[in-house]
Amino acid sequence: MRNLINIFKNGIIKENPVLIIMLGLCSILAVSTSVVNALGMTLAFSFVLIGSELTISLIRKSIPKTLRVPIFIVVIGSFTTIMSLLLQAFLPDLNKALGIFIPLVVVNCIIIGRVEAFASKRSVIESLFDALGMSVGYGIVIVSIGAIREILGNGTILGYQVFGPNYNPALFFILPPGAFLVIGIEIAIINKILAKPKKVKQEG
Amino acid sequence: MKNSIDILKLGLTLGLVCLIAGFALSATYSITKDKITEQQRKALVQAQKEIFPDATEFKKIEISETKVGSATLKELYECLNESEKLLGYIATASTPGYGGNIIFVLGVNSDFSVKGVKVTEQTETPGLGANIAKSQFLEQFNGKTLNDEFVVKKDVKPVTSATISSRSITNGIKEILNFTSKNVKEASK
Amino acid sequence: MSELQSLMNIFISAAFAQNFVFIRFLALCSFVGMTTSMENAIGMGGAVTFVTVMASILSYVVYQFILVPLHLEYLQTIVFILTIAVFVQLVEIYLKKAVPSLYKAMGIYLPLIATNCMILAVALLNVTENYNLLEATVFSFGASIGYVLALVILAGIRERLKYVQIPSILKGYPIIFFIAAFIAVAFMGLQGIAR
Repeated sequence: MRNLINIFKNGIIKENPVLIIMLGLCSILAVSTSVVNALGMTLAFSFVLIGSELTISLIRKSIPKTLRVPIFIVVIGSFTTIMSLLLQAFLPDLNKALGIFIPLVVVNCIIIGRVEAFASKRSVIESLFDALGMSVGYGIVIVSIGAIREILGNGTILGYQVFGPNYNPALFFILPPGAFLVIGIEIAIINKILAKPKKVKQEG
Repeated sequence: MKNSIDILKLGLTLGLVCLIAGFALSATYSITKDKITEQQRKALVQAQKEIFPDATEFKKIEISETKVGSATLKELYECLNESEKLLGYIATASTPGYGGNIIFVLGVNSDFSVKGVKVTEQTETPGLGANIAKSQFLEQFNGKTLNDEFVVKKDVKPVTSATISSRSITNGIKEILNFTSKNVKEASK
Repeated sequence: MSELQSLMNIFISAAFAQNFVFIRFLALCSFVGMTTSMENAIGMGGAVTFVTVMASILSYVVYQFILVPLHLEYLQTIVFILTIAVFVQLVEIYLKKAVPSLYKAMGIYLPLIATNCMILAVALLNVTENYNLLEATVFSFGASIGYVLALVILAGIRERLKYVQIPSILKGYPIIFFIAAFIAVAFMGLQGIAR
């Protein structure tokens, strides 16, 4: 059990897929224009990550070495397509908001990376916890960027006005340059935190 | 000998995986297919109801997608009320905007003036060009006829700092209005 | 608008106004990872251009002649990515045999290209924008040129960054993103030129 919790926490902090390993950047920046979109993207991403990790872990012993990549692609691609169809049918507004980034989940380096590095080598239950941890890690980053961009760029959060009608939103943050700026700042802050003496970071 | 058996085994394994995947995919597809079509129609049906609240029937006119200037006409409907009286027409079209295509629904009265306009899909700049989808901007087109110029900053008030998006939709409306009035005279009985 | 004008429009829009890196947020992993030197940038840019254009054409053909007649359009994502992966694999095999020096020089680039989200995005956009084969080819070429431009600009700046003092918290990725933010502003200014 301890082991599983560690695996879960790993995905959020030590090996946070976005801030530490620097993967999955495209969707993070493009979709973080509002908290709702960010949450939706996390949902879509998690569905595919969890599904793929579980499936690959399940069949890991029967995958011939040379067929690794094609099988990964077929599995991840299938989950992506299923997720896409489900969104089109039941959450069409989210589907429109996320646009092309829904099918692009299939090439999200985080998913391919985790499936290759973890799920193909570890047990099903471990893979489940890894997928959950990574999803939360991904979600934290995209939602935090989304919140900042929405509050500063639109004056709202989850659609609710934060600053009152006289606030003139700094549109810059909703536009592409704003995205780059916000993630740059977030990583800088993380760098600052990580630079603190190791002793403080050791616990948790 | 061993090599060909290996290759056969590989092929079969891959084939099996693809088969299972294919099964899962087609199953999901058949379950969601109808819901998806329904969702795609929803935006249109809603726009139709908002523009012609008195219409009870929207009869589709059989024409194929046509390029009209820079816009593209997708579908054309006759709008009838309960007594089968022709109230007007609904056209769905797309026109290239600043950030991509703008999909809109144009309601045309039987005298070929504009009944109403709704924008159902756009990818303009949020906060700027995206405001062309707001009714405050679109209302000004109500009642316009082909005698109007449809020129931004002349008879059309643009969205502030979004002249290109405003021009795009204005142009699109003008072209589709023009096309509709020229072609339905022949199309209806 | 004449056919040629419309094609020019597609090209300029894909390369500048709707630049795939700075406006559409695609291919960011390679943008950040492959710009440590001008050599890497140009090498990756060239490779991606080749694969994007060829894979787009291939995907287009597969879509029009296989998926559409069989009403299997919903499989486009998975079919396109498989097409791209297979194509990259074939290129790798060919280069290994025919031009081993180039193969060695490209090293890790090759397999990385398959995960480049821009390539898949271009293939998908060709479908949603309803381009014909010629328009699709021009579009993929434009997108690739925009990508090469992005890489080269950043690589040029990063090479000069080596000689500059950067505050420690900004070292590494933060400064790159800040720079990208400014370049993005410049590209936003170009947005009006296509139309």
